Amino acid sequence: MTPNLETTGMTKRIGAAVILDSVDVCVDRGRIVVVVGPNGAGKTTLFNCIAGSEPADSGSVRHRGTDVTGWSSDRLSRHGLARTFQRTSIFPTLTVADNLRVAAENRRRRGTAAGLLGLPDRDTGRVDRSVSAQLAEFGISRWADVRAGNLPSGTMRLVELARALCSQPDTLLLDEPASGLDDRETEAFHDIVLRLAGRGMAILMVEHDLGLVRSVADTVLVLAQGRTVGSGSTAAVLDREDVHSLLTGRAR
Amino acid sequence: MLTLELALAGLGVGAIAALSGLGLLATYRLTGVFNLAFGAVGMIIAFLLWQQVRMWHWPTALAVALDLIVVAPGFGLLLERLVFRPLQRRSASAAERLVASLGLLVVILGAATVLWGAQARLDPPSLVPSGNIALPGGAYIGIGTAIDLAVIAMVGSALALGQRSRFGLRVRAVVENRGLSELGGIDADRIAAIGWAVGTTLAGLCGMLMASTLRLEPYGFTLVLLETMAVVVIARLSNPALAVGSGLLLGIVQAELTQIHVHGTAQNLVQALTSNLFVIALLVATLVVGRLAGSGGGDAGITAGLTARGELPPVRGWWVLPAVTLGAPLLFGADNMHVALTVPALAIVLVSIVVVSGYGGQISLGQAGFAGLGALIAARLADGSLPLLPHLTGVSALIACPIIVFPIGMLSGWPAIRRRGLFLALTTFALSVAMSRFLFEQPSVTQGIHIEPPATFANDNNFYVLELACLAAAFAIVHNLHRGRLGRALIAIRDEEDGALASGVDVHRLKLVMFGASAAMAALGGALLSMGSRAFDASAFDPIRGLIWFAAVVVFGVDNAIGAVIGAGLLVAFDAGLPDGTSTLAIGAAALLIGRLPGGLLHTLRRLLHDLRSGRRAVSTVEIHRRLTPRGRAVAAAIHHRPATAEVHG
Repeated sequence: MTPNLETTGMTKRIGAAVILDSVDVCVDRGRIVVVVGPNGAGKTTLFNCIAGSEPADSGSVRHRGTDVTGWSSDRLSRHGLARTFQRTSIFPTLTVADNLRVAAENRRRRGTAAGLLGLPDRDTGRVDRSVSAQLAEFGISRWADVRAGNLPSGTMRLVELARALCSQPDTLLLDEPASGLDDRETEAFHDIVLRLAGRGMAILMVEHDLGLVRSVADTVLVLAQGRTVGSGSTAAVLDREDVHSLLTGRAR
Repeated sequence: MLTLELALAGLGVGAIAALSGLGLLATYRLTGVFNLAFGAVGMIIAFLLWQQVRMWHWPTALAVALDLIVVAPGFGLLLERLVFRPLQRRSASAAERLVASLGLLVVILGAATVLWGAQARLDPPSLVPSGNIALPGGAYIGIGTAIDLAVIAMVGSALALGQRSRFGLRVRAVVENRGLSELGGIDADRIAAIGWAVGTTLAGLCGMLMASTLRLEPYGFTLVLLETMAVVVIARLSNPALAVGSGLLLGIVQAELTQIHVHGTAQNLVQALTSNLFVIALLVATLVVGRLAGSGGGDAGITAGLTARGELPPVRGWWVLPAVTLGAPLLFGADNMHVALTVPALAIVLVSIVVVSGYGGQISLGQAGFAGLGALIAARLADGSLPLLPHLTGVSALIACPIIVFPIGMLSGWPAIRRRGLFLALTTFALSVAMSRFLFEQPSVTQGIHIEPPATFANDNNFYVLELACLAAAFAIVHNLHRGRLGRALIAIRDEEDGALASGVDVHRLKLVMFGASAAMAALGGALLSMGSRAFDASAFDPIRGLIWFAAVVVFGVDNAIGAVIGAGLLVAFDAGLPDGTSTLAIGAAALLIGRLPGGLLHTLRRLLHDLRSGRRAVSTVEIHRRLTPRGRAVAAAIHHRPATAEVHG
């Protein structure tokens, strides 16, 4: 079966420094892969190179078998690869519902000229359904008409994730989705991620909270200084002595 | 064939460009503000010197000394204290700082026009004796050029040495991060004040030195100094040696080009190229260097910080004010009607700036170019002299002209989609200068041009109604930019571009469409302007006018189309009833105060009314916080028992 997301030999240099050194990632349908590693290991750069936010120097990205290397972020999003950011990227002056609507109505690229001329959008029905479904799924319907910038940070994370899902992706890139969440919110997030994977979503995630990693990850990938230093089933990799000291800074 | 004589002659022009570029660069390095008003400061100091020497008969040496030691630095100190310090203190966006420097340029232009009129002075006092110095080998170099070169060497080496000194380090710290350097115990206000004083002194020196070789008049002189921005862009805003080198080289190339002679109409092109070499250099440099420098110049491309969207509830009955403004002339007599014809046309041009800058979030300083292009195309369509295009008259020409300009606008937006900030602003400006020089001012292009309203609308009243219909169409487009999928996508881009991209919004295409739509709208406005005055007047589409229009739009609210209409009405009324330059002066003064008028004049008025009605002064804690000095913030934090940094970015 073709994996949903597959990178081979992702490499990125800045000057003489190697930020990413030939990193391979593979995420199958319904699987959760978590990238761990100390700060500066290249996790976010890996995400940016996959999601088209910055160009890689070499290596390739395949999404459901299509070579998407070098595609722009918006094109990838329309192709079904959605992402969230380490620093949330919601639209603060739009309401929560409109935040979701932006993603839902840009699933297909059309309508700019029609919009300028004021012609009606044929897609409205589908967009409305998609938005209300995600609002309900994340339990944020009561915030629907609140400006997103006024929300508490935990709720912003939920809005960002709900927005990503409104673009109807089959693959999700989540960059530290649990940072800024309190214990209860992390718990809820845990359930959401497992539910999504249960429905066949492929999820690639960067996360520091090792408790969360152990409870959701099918596979972990350990990065240090841009290189893969370990990958495989969660328990086996995280229990390795070298990985443990790399991530926690101390020996067991 | 290259000749030494020509090269030495070209060195004169080159030295002036190099000196002006060096001065601009030094100001930028010292203050962190790319001072668009550098040329205007030089212009007004040169005018002052002319006044002192020619009118008041002061000795030249005394006047020069007074201007360079007292007037120019004093002006710089004043600017820092009154305009730029408040902006720096509340970490204003790069767009706001750019607009402030634009406001300065406009206010100086207005002041100079009011004081001295728009005509050229042909007898500016010369700072240096005329004559030549013989060089070994039988060549000559002008004394003026030699002195220019000496000044360049002095300023350049001072800049190079200063960078390594303790003072230079502090300057860099303040320019990089004012807040942090204050925490490090640096008196940032003092450093910035010195920077501005030095910057304006250099501008004054450039102006005085150049006045003796150029025509001294407010618009043209400022524009020539603005064109020397080319060498600063080539130097990527950082390398003084490169700025000087490219300035000298361009001067020499320009002189050598005068030797080239070709037959036929190509000679016109060669001549245009030669005399506008700096314009070409500016355009090419902004296109090439802007791409290399990426997002150089901060976030000035995004007009955030100039808008105040969503702060107040939407207005009901918003159409009353523009309707009254626009309806009134229909009740006037024929004399006033002719003046009033300008209002809707100008309003359309200003609304086009609202579209690209207010909604598209891109600073475009080049709308005058598209307006002129529209006028030119409408006229040429009417006389059927445009190749490949049919002969169209009347209303059909008016409809075709924006359609033709739309793709041209998109094309010109192409470089914009990958660039932000200063380089975008400069690219659009350079484009408009190029259009002005290579099209509007070329006799071969504008010769025999004949433009008048469509036959059915030849009567002033009828034409006015036609203009109103066009303005209504422009408003319909603006209305569509507010709502629906397109409106949301545009807000998303302005709020958080990365998030918009991640949500599948085709940001690049949208920006291009906004550029195209805005250019098309400006073209329609320009065509109507020319039809109304029944002539194609290149000076109506002068690049500097584009700067004034942009400042006017910002003053009335960059995302406020109604403001643009009222602004157009006021501009025309001012120009008709008051001395030349008054409207420019007023726009400039208001633009300087933009930091105190968030969202523009109309929005500020509305907020005041809103506060009066609700019986309170609605100032957010964040706003108060921004106004405080670092020490004030610490005190406020102590009073409220919370950390000082908590709400700074709120």
